[in-house]
Amino acid sequence: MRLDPLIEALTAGTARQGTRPPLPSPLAEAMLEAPDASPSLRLLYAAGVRALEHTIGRLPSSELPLPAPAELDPRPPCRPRAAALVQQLLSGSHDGLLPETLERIHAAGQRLPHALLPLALGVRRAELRAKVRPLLGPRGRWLAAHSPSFAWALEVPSSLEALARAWAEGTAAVRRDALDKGRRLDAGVALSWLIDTWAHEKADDRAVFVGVLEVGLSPADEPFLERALDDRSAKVRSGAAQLLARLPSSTFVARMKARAVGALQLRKQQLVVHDPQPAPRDGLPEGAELRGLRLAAVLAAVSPADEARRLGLSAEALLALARRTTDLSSLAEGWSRAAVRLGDAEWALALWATWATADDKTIDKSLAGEHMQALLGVLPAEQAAGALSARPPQWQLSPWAVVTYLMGGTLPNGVEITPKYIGSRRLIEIAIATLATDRALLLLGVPGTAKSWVSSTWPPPSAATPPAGAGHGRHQRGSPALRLELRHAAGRGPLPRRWCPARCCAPCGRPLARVEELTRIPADVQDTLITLLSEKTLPVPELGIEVQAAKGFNVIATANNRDKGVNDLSAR
Amino acid sequence: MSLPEAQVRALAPDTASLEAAERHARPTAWRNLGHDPRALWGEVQGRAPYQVRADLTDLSTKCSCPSRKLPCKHALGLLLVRARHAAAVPARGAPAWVEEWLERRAAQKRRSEARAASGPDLVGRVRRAVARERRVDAGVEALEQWLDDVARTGLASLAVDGAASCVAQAARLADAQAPGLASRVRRVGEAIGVGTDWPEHVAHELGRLALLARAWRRRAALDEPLVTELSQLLGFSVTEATVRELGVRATDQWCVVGQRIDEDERLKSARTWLWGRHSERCALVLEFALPTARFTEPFAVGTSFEGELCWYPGAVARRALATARSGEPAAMLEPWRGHTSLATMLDAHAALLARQPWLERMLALVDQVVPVRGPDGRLWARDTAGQALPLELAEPLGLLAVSGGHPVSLACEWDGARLHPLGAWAEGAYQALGAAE
Repeated sequence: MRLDPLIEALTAGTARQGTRPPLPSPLAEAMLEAPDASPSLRLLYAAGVRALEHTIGRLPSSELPLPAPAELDPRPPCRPRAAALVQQLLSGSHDGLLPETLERIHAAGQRLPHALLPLALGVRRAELRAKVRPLLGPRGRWLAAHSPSFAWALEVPSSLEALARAWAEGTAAVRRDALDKGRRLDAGVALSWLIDTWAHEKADDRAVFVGVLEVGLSPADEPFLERALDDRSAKVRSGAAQLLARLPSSTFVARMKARAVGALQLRKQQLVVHDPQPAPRDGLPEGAELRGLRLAAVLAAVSPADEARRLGLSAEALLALARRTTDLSSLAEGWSRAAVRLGDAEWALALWATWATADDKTIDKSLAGEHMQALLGVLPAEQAAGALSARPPQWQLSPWAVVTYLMGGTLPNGVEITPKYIGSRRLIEIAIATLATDRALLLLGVPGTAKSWVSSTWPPPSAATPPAGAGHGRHQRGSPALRLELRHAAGRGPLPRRWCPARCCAPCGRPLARVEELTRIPADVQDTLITLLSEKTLPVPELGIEVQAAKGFNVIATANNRDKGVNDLSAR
Repeated sequence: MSLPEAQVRALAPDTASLEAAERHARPTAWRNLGHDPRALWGEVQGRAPYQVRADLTDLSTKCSCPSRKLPCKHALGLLLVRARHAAAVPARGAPAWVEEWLERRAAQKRRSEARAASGPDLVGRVRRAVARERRVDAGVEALEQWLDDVARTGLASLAVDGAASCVAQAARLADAQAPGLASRVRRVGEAIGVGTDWPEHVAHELGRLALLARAWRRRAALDEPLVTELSQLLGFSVTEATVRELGVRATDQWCVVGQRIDEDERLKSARTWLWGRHSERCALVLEFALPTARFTEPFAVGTSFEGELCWYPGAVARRALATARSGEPAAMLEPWRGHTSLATMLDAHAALLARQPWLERMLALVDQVVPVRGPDGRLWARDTAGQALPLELAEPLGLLAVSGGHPVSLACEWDGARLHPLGAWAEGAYQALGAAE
């Protein structure tokens, strides 16, 4: 770069170089003649003038071509309130409501406001991208061309040749989409693309691509999947095993069936459970402590209905026997996965009841929520109600009755129940199932979504209701006071007068505390609450004692996600 | 002398004090109640025994309790006792602690009357102003000496210890009560060694500083508005009262075009750009607050309000105060009329610089520009004539999304090299852009 002679002179210093560099501007030249100033200062004056000339004389560039603009979208943007909600969901991590919100905007024939497009294009999860895609419109696709990370939103070509090109040249996300679309057009050809490049793919990509083979899965894919079982990456192996389990004629399923026969046997009307031999290739890890994992993996790969038939038992009878074993958690987990995969409603119903009603000494309740939610998804609507009618120990009402109380409906005897909450039934079912499985419930969401209403609107208490209470994080009570109150809610002691007679907890027939605005509670109280829920005890360091929680103590808490940073939720 | 209860109630700082005072409004709560023609007094048992006195001439009170409310609940109680049960407060000689207080008040009053009679301390004010100007002059002289040194030894030597030298020089200027110059020198120090073209940048900045120092030295020969401007650049502050007294005023519908907030550990500052829809005048409102505090003037970008602004005196009226507002701010519904091309915007900027060559940023409203991605990956604003200036934007996709390759009305800060977008009119609404820089 050619350096301005003036800058050159100043950089070197007037002590070393002459003080009269050639200057292109008469005004700057004139500064060099400024009276009553040293030569060095005069040079600086000239630099100041040049700076001004640079600014004033700046010319716009006229060499920029005008690219084609985005086409107009005939759809109107969604309303500002909807836009504000979408923006909040997109920028927060609590995006459980996002798919439904996006669907509704699409169903209303609207699009996202343009200002939200960068956020919307930034979503990462495949199921969210599927919901975002129809809302983008021409503007969104136009914008997607401006950033490599938005490439997933570009139109996927529809011919096999174009797809093959996208597969060969695209970014990981584009290639995934190309493979997906290729599988739909011609599963065999798309598989051959993958086989060709398999050796050069990175482990994470291999795992993603194996997952895509779910599209158009057929016995023709078995040889490839069987080879993938030898992959170095555990993620690839488990992905392949999951797909092979869905091919009933595969040798993988045959191997698993043989293992199941060895693992589960009937002897004298008792279920005897043997540890399956480790086989890392088929996803059965080595190690004595991983016995449960192996059991679950074997059972997940075979049909539970077939197993019951082999043993000559009904689903209920087999589960009843399983309850008497020490492996109930692993058995239920394996069968649950299989029932969900096969969409077996009968087994789903029986397993739901098992997870809900089994004693927490025999079953690992920390697994229950996830499986119960999945099982509920398999059940048709009328059977879902049946599943929820299994009453957990210590509950006075069945979860179904609580759901009906909240959502409204007609009882078998014709009594109309008015809805107390209008919204997603699935959400309430999950909430109740959470409480039914002894896990604390946190209702977290944007303000104005009836969280506190739901938490306080359980059926009215009956006379036999044990103590319960409500704390409110917004009350600026000191930590000791809140901890004291927790102690009373958790223990069996008399209720201090300050606890509001809460309307909660009747269905559970046990102490159930309600906490509003969890995030505004000081961190030490949150910690106490967590200890209470996980250890079932409440240490009182001031007195050097521990209070045992009453059996089945639980908490319904509400918090809103705008409060971040006030008292962020403890890591757990 | 009778004391109406309503008058006592009117003294209360808040209703809570009045409620609390009710407990002390019974004569039985008091000991040693008494009054004379000047004052009223008594002792009351609060958390400790408190001595309460009230001057009957102006109802000012004094209590020995630690409350910060004035009057406190005890004083209110005493006045209420007097209002309701005048007979319970006998006339008697004032005890020593009341006498003392009354004398102190009388002495204070005499002093303030004497001061009021002699008029404002003009002599003292002029003397202080002259002393400050002398200190600033000395600071400017030292700055010129330093600039001379820097130019003589060369900018290349700045790369070694230039940053420290700038910090030291800035501190000297701050001591010389020229904070405006101090912050300019500090910024030069921060630019040393940054980027490949820093010598040019630093040379230009030092050149401007040298011109500023020279202009100040020669201020006697300059127009008064420019001298006013210079003194603000050097760091002489202008009080709001002066602005209200001397500033030019205009009433209009003011559009809040953009706001930028800078924060460091000691202070946060907000600069808010306003645009008069009818007068087509621009105003910059600067506000300063502690990092934890809020700014006092609520300006929501994208709204407009009816009101009056008052500009700081100077050669280019730019910085202003909002002196009056009427009605609630409302969302802007239609765009303003901006420059139709970048060329006219640049001309307007040049005209401003001709009047005040040290201006750093100005508001640039340009209509019908298309944000376009250049071959360098940077975003440019291209006008209908096909001319383009570079945009500086932390998150360019936001502007691309709202424009979509179509022309928009853009509001920017123009710093002489790049446009810093503040917002754009798109989809029939004003969208604020790039809050963080």
